[in-house]
Formats: sequence, C-alpha cells, structure tokens
Amino acid sequence: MATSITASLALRPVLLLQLRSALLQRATPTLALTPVRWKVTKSQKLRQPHVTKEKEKWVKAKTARVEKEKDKSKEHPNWIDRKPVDDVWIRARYPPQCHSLEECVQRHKEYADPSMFDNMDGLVYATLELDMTTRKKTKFMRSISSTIMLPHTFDDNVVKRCAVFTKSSEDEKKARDLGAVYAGGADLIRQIVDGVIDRSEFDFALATPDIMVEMLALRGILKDMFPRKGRGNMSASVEEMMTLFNQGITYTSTKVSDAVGRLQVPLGTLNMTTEQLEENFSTYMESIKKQKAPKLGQFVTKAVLIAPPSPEQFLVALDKYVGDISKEKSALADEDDEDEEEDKSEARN
Amino acid sequence: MLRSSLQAVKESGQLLRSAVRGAPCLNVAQTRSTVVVERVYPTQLGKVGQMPRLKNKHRVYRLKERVHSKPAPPIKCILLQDIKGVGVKGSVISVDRSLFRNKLYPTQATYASPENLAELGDERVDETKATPTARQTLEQLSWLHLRVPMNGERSWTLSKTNVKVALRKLGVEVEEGCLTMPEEAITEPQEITIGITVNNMETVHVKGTVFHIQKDPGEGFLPTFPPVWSKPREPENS
Repeated sequence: MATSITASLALRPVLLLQLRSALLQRATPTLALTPVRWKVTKSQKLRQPHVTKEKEKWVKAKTARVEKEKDKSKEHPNWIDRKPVDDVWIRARYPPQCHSLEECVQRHKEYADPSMFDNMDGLVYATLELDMTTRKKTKFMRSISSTIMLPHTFDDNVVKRCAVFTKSSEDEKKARDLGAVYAGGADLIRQIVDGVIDRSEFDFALATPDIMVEMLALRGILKDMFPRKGRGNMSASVEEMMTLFNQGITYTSTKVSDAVGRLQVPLGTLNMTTEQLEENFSTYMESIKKQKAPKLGQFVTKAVLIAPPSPEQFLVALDKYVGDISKEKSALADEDDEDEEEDKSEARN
Repeated sequence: MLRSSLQAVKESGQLLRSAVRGAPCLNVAQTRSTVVVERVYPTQLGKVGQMPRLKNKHRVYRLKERVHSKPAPPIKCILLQDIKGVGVKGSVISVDRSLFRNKLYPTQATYASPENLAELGDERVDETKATPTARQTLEQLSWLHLRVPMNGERSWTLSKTNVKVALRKLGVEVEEGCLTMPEEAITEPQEITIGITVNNMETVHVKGTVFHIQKDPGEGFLPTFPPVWSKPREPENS
C-alpha cells in the first residue's frame, strides 16, 4: 500500500504540491521556509528564504588607483625655470616655490595669529620625503627609526609608556619615580613571557646591561622594541634613558612605495621663537642624514612645513641642511654596508 | 673652375627640368650649411708664396662644428603693441628669432637698432616693471572675490598682514607694500575693497568680504560667497 502511495507521488505532481503546502503550514512561523523549486525528493528540501547580502559583498570594491610616480626628469625646463619677477604673482602660474625655514615658520605664525585662526599653541610638523634607494636597483632601504633629544623641548601630545628592565631595586625605584609604567627584573620578564602583561601595554622597553642575558627570552616578543645600545634604550643610567624617551622625540618613517619613504616629525609649537624651531629642525636633519651613507646621495628630497589644522603647506629650501656630514660613518650606516657585503659574499658562494 | 662650371650646368639642368614639370620641388631658397672641419694630420710648411704639398693623408678631416645646426639666438626688438605673454608696448626685449621674423615683424615689433632706439627715446618702458606677467596678474585679480577669515571670538582690527594671509590662502602672493587698505579701520565682518599695486605701476581694486571663523569647525556656519575667481563672460558678437 505504501509503495503504491510513493508510486502515485512520483506520478502525480498535483498531490506533491499539496503535500508541500501541508508541510509549509506545519512549519514554524519564524522560519518561513520555502520549498526548492522543481526538486522531487523524499525528504523535502526546504531552505531559508533568500536574504539580500550586504552590498559590499557582491559589489566589487573599487581598486585603489595607484598613482604613478611623476617622472620629474620629464618636466619641461620652461616650467621648472619659471620664477616670479613681480611683487604680486599668482601661485598657480609658477612651479612650487621653496622658502627658507624661517620664512615658512613666519607664514604659519601669521595665520595662527590670535586675530585670525588663533592657533599659537598648535604644533608645527615637518613632513619629509626620503629617498630609500640603494646602489642596487632592486634593493631598497628599510624604514628608519630613532629617538633624539631636541635642544628645545616641548609637549608633542604623544603618550609615552616606558617599561624598565633592571636587576637592582634602586634602579627600579628610580624608574618608577620618573614615571615608568612597568619596572622590574626577572619577574617582569616572566610576566611578559607568560602573557600576563601584553606587549601593547607599553611603547618603549628600556634595559640596563646587567639584565640583558635574561632579556633574550623577550627577543621574539619585543622584536623591534628590543633594547639596543645604538637605539639608546640599553644603558647603565636609568635617568638618562627615561629623560631621552619621555622628553625626546621618537620618529619612525613609513614607506609610500619601495623607493620613497615618508617621515613626519614635530618641530615645536608656534609659541616658540623661529630660532628655536630652526635649531630643532637642524637637529632632526643631522640625525636623519646619519642613517644613510652619504655616497648614496641626498637622503631627504623634500620637506614641507604644516601647522594643522591650518590647510597651508610650505616647501622648505634644504640647501643649508643637505651638506657634507662628518667622515665618521655612524653605526646605522655601517649596518647597511654590512648587509650589502653579506649579499655580495652570498652571491659569490 | 671646371668643377664649378660643371656644377652650374647640372643645377641649371635641374632648374629647367623642374620648371618644365611645374614641380613644387623647385627650391630657389639658399640653404646655408657651413661645416667647419680640421685636418687630422698636420701638413708640412710650404715655400713662400706656395701652397703646402698635400698628400692623401692630408685630406682626412675631423668634424669641428656645423655652423647652421645650432639653434638661432634670440633677437632684441622693440614692441610696437601690447602682446599677450611677450611684453608691453614700448619695451625692448629679447624674443625667439622665429617668432619675431614670422609673426611680430613689421606691424607688432621692429628691430632694436640704434636708430630705432633713439627714435623710441622717452617712450621706452622699464622692462623690469612692465612685464607681461604683471599684465596677466592685474587682469586676473580683477576677477577675484577676496575672502578674509578673522577670529569670531576675539576683537581685532584688519591689518595688511591679515589681507596678505587671506590672499595667500586663495593663491595670490603679495608683499605688504603693494596693498592699499580702506580708510576706515575694519573691526567687524563686512564687505571691503582692497587696492593691489603691481610693480608700483598699475592698481587694481579687489572686492572682498571679511567674515568670522571659529577654531572648532562645528560651531557657527560659513556664509555663502560668490566664487573666488569669476571670469566675466565675453559678450557675444551680434
């Protein structure tokens, strides 16, 4: 009897439809099941009704347009050589003009004056374009990073959390007094290794030489933050390190493309005198120049001064700052040379 | 002599043939093509009154320069009219030789010969002041509607520095000495007219608005302005 029913089911689509609708009615109201069209199976295949997916999933995201680097050698000399001769001129009719740093700072101060924008407490930043090429065409420099103490300090609105690693309890106390977020020895190291304290809870890791052996356990966790003498975060004096990292500026460059890097550093507030801002800028330039071998050419190709939230930007003339640096190569430049020599020896083998 | 006469016969034959055909290839213009060469191997001195004895090796030459392949230098001329992008009437300037010969001479410019310069005399214009760019700038400034943003919370009096900064934000670089401020001191937002003198020669009066700005962009609202640059439409010729 059952077989005849199933046989009739297979042959009589009308009955099949009735069965389907019966099932529908029995189905729970929240599910609102819809039968699969034209599918004849014993167990009715029912599935969720179609819900429109979020647009982002089925509309192709527009691929970001990669801006081709403008080939500067192809800019017409008639345009590049145009210089304003009148005392009133339209900026769009001439290529971007360079001004001395003093002139750029003065211009920003004019707009930040209390009678206009009223931003004398605002910070002035220098956005630098770096040439990351090396002697080899396919090899490029890595991003540069350093911490320096400026001749004229100021508050740069950056939170600096220091973790100090030291064996002696005196140094630990000194560190805490100076405002370290974490200070300790082997216990602190164990806490970080175990995951009790996460790496993201502090910005700088400072250490004294006596604890360096135990610090090796943290090399994989701290990575770039690992204390190194050349960086200034490994020294015997805790006070020195703390003042450097709390009051000094730490800068890290980013990469716009393989060959071009970008670095933005704060020079000071517009309240400071032009001479003070100029001295800070010179200090930055000296520190940055050291990080590339001078024989590879000019490291900083462009410098633009900005004072946010003002929209104005002024190109800085770098003739004064891009001169011959001292003949002593710095440790960082040496490292790059060593890498090149390593590559050469690898190629030979 | 034989060679040159042969050459002449050849050329005349060519000329005749071209004339008969009525061909456009008839080139009666003289092509100047001086090539300066020097001997690779020096010759022996000849006797007085005689040429040195030349051997085959003495006919080996090295190219020194092609005189007429260098670009022609610019020519100094006196402009007889105002020419856009070149200069002002009465100025003595250097222009591209081809531009002068093909376009400017003789109606718009003439040679800067001593006679012509003497004739010009007093009418000569100072080229450092009456530049073509100055003219362009004056014309463009007449289309400008200046916007001067001033602080909405503090009290102020409009100064030349404020106007200089406002012009700089709109893309016009001026020196404070070129500005002529209104007679009354401005302390409230209002419509103003500033005089801008280019190269101490001509002045253009620029209309503008002084308005309040707040440091916090959320507060207040920016009033609507006419466009910064509004070139007047040229009237259609009937």
